[in-house]
Amino acid sequence: MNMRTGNTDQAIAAAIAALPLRSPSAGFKGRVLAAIAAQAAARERLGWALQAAGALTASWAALVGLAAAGPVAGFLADYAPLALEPGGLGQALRLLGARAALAAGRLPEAFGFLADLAGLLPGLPPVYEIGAAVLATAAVVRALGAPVRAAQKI
Amino acid sequence: MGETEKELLGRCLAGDNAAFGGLVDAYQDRLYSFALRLLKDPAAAEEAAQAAFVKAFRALPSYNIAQPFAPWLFRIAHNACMDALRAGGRTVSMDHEDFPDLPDRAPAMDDSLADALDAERIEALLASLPAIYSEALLLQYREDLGPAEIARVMGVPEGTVKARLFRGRELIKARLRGAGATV
Repeated sequence: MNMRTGNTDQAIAAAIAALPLRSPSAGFKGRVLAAIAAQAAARERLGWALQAAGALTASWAALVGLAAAGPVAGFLADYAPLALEPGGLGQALRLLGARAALAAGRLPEAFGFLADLAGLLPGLPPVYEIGAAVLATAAVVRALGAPVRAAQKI
Repeated sequence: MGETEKELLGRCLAGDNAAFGGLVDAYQDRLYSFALRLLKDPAAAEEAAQAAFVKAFRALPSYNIAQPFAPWLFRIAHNACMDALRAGGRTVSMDHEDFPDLPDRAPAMDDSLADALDAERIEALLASLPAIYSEALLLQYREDLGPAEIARVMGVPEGTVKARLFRGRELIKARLRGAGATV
């Protein structure tokens, strides 16, 4: 190793090590602690907000349960005596099956909208054309949106 | 006698938030000086140092008390400074580390130039370097961190830190030579 280079390195190291410390303006510590306290308070407020949202959800669930209790009670009132009779259980199940079949008969109406949408499919371009268009669009967006890589030093 | 750093950290980790004030006392000048030398703006440096302390407080539960505290804190300060530099519209190149303005074979340097490295001059030389070099030099010599710790602070491999230290020193020497030639 070049002796002079070593001396210079040592001089640079010593000069940097001896650099004086600077102090922030007065009240810095107070501002840091105040910022921490403010964040803690904000977190506490968020906790309260979440608790309030939880309580609201629970209340809503209770309300829905209460509103549903009437029909459920009516349902039980209809079927429980029937099920308790001899051979009544099978009769109750058959009745339930009939109701289910009635509901199933209405399903085509519920799926009518989806069927309409499916009817549009033949009018759409082929999948590979849509895929190519998506890729081309993504490439253009990437090219326009990519940050310019600069070798700029600070 | 005041509490040691470990004691303060132990109290903080046990939930005593007031103990963090002692850590701010212990590190505020070091962190602020570090930020000031990177950002070259007192207001921005103070903001970055404050942000670093606040983030450190929030991240304390993830701090492993068996590890040294200074590199962990300086890592947070490094991130705060990089955020400030980016917010100021400046970019820090991490992957294209050129080696500008250095001749292949540097002429021997006059020892008197190195001897004349006072605080004001080295401060100006550091300020003239790209941030990646001045930061590595400050962490090594001013903060007395080793290459492995600096690597953790800067988030780069240890070999990159060594290269930055070398290049930083060479840039300073080149500028000293340049200044000497003009005398």
